[in-house]
Amino acid sequence: MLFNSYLFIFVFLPITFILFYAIGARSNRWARFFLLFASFVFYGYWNPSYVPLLLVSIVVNFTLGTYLSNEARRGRKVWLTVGIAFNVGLIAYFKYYDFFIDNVNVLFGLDLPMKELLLPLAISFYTFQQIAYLVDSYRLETKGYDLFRYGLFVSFFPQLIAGPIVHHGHVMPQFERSSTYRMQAKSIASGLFIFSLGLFKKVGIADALARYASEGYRLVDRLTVLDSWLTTTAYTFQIYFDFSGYSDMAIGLGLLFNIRLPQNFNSPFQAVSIQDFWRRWHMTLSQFLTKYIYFPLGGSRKGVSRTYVNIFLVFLISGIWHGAAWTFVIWGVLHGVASIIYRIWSKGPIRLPKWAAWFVTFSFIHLSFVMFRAKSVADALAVYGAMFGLNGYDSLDVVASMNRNPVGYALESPFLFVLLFGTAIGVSFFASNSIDWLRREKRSIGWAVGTAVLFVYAVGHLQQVSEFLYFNF
Amino acid sequence: MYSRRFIVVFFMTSMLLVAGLAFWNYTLDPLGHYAHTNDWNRMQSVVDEREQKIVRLRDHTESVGTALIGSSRVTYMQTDDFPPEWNVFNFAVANYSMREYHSYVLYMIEQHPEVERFILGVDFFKANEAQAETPQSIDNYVEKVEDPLYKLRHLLSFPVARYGWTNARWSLKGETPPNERWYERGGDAITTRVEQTEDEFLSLVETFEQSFYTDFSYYEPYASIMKKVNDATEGRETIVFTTPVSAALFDRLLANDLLPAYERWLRELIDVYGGVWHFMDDNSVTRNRSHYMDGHHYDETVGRWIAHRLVDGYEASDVPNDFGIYLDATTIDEYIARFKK
Repeated sequence: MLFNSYLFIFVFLPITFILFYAIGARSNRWARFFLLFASFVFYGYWNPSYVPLLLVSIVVNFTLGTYLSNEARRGRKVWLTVGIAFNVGLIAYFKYYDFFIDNVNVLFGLDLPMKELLLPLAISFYTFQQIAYLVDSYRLETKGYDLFRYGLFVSFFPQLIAGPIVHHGHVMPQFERSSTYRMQAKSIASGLFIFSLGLFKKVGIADALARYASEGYRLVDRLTVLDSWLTTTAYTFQIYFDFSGYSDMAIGLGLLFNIRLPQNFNSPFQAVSIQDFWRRWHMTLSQFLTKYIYFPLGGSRKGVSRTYVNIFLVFLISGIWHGAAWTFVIWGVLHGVASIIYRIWSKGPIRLPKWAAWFVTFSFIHLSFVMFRAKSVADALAVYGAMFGLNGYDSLDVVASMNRNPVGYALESPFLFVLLFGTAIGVSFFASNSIDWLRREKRSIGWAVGTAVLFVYAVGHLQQVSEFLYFNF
Repeated sequence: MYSRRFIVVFFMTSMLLVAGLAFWNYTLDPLGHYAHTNDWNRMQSVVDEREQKIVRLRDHTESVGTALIGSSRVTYMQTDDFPPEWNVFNFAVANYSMREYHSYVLYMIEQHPEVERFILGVDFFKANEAQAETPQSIDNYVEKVEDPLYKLRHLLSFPVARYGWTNARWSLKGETPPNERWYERGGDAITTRVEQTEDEFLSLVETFEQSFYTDFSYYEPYASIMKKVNDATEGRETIVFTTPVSAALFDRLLANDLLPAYERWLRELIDVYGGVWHFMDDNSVTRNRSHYMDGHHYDETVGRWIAHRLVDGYEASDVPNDFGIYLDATTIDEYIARFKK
C-alpha cells in the first residue's frame, strides 16, 4: 500500500486514525497495540507472505537486544556479532544473492542459477534500524523496552517502507507518553500540512518529471546534448522531490498520530560542498552510517590515511545499500572519492566563492545521479557521452517525442514544461524547504486553503488515465 | 485555536473541491461509467476501448442477443444495421489479437449467458506470427474494472476531467474531430471523415504493407486457437466473416506472394467453422477508394452491407452482388483457383 493511493488516503488512514484515538481515549496500551496491528496490515497488504519475516526479525532482534542490554550477561560481544550477522545476512540473502551469483557466473564462466527472490519491502530500512538498536543495547544505551513497543518502533507504518530511518531513542519515548494518545489540534494541523505538501511534491512534481527521465533513459543510445541534459536534469529533481516528498508524507503521518519523526532532507541542492550535501540529503542514513560505521571504524581519530579509508568505506557501504548493481556501487565510490577530495581541499588555503562552491557541488551531484539511475554502467557511460557531445548537438528530440506521448498528458505545452522545470529548480535552489515551513507554523486561512488545493490537486492526479494507443488496427 | 481553524478550513476546502471534481466527472462521464446522457456527453472520445466496453457490457447492458467481436475495422459497424431482435453488442476493440477471441467469448457468456450468437470479424494480417505470438486476454482489464474503488478513483481524477472537457466541447458542437474514432453515448462508433488524395491513400496502403505484409510468417497455432474459440461458444450460432481491405491493399497482399498464406487462412477458418462469409478480395466495393478511411478501415456503408449480407445472405437486396461470398468446403477450391490462373 502506498501513501499516494486512494486505498491508503480514503480507507486505511481514516479508519486507523479514528480507531487509534477512540481506543486511546480508553487505553494507551490497547491503542499502541492497535497501531502495531494496523502497521502489520499496512505492510502485509503488499505481500502477506513477507509478514512472518518481519515478525521473525523483530522477535530475534528484540530478544538479542534484551540480552545485550544486561551488562551481566556473558558473551555479549559474540551475541552482538551474531545479531548484526543475522540482520546483514537477511538483507544479503534477499537483496544481494542474485547480484553475487551473477558476478560469480561472469567471473568464473559458470551457470549457477539465480533465485529471483522478491525483495521484501522495507528490509533495507528495518534491518538498519535494528542494527542500531542492537549496538546501542550492547552499549547499554537502551531502556527496558517491551516487545510490543519495540515492534511498533520497527513497524510503525509511516516510516516502515522508505524511512526516515528512525532511531529507537527518538521514537520510543514518544510511544510511552500519554499525550501521544490524545488528539492534539496542533499536531494534526501540522500533519495535514506536511503530508499534503509531500503528496504534491511526489505526485505533482516528481511523477511529472519522471516521464521525461524515464523516456530519456529508455533511449540512451539516441540522446544528444540537449536531450541528455534535459533527461538527467529531470531525474535529478525527480529523485529529490520523490524521496523528500515521501519523507514529508511520513513525517506528516507521524504527526497525525502525535509522533515526531526526524527530518530527512534539508534543501540538499543548496549545499556548498559534498560534506554539506550529505548533511542535508537522506540525513537519517548519514546519521546511521556516521554513528554505526564511521565512528566504530575510528572516524578521524586514527590518522589522515585511515580517515580517508573510513570515509571511502562508509560511502562504499552506502552505495551497496542503495541497490544490488554495479551502478550503485560506483555511485557510492564516486561520493567517497569526492568526500576525500573535499577533505584534502578544505585543508588547503584556497576557498571558492560560495556560488562557485555551490556550482561545483551541484554539478557533481547531478552527474553522479546518472550512474545512480542508469540501468547499467554501459548506459551511464552512453548518457555521459551524450551529455558531452559525442552524439551530436540536436534539438529537443526527447521533449517532442514525449509531447506526443499520451502518458505525458500534463506536459503537452511548452508553458507547462517551463512551469514544471522552473518550479522544481526554483524551489530546490532558492526556497525554504517543507520542514522550515512546518516549523514556522503557518496556520492562517490562506495556508489552509493552499494546503487543501495542493492536497486535492495531488489526489486528483493519483489516477492517471491509460490510453490505448493503437486505435487504428 | 489557529490549528483547529486550519483543520476545519482544510477539510471544508478539500471537500468542496473534491465534490466539484466528482460532480464534473460524473456529469460528463467521459469513460462511460454511468448510464446518463446529456448535451455535454453525447460524443465520447476513445480512451481505452477494452476498458470502456467491458464497463458498458457489465454495468449498462441489460441483455445481449448477439456479440460482435473483432478488431478496429469492426468497431465502425453499427448495431442498428442488424435486426433489432438480434440485440447486437459491438465488442470490437482496437489492435485486437486473434489470441483475445477466446477470453472475450468466455467473458461475454459469463456476463450474459443469454447470448445466442457470436459474429467474429477476422483479419488476415492477424494470422501473421508477429501479430499473434504474444498471449493476450481480457483478464487484466476485468480485474481492473472489478476493483471496488475503480469508479471512485476515476471520479476524483483531473485527467478524467480533462477528457470530459474535450468531450463536452465536441458534444456541444455536435461533431467529432476529423479522422478520429469517437463513440455516441448509445455505443456506436462515429467518425468525421476527411477525404484524402490518391497519393495520401496510397501512402497509407504502403505503410500498412510495409508493417504487416513484408516478413509475413503464418502463425502455426492459428487453427487450433480458433477451434478453442469455437468450443468456447458452447454450441451457440457462430458467424465468421473476413474483414474487407481495399483492393489496392489486397493487390499488395498478392504481390508479396501471400496467396498461399491467404488460402491456408481461409481453409483453416472453414475447417473450424464450417464456412465463412468472405469479403476480403477484389470487388466493386473494395475497389471504391471512397469507402475507406485508410487502406483497410471501411466506412459505415460497407459495415451495413456486411451486416445485411450476414443476416440475409444472398437475398440482401441492397448489397452489391459481388460483395460477400460464402466459402465452405464445396466452394473454396473454385474460389482459390481464380487467383492461381
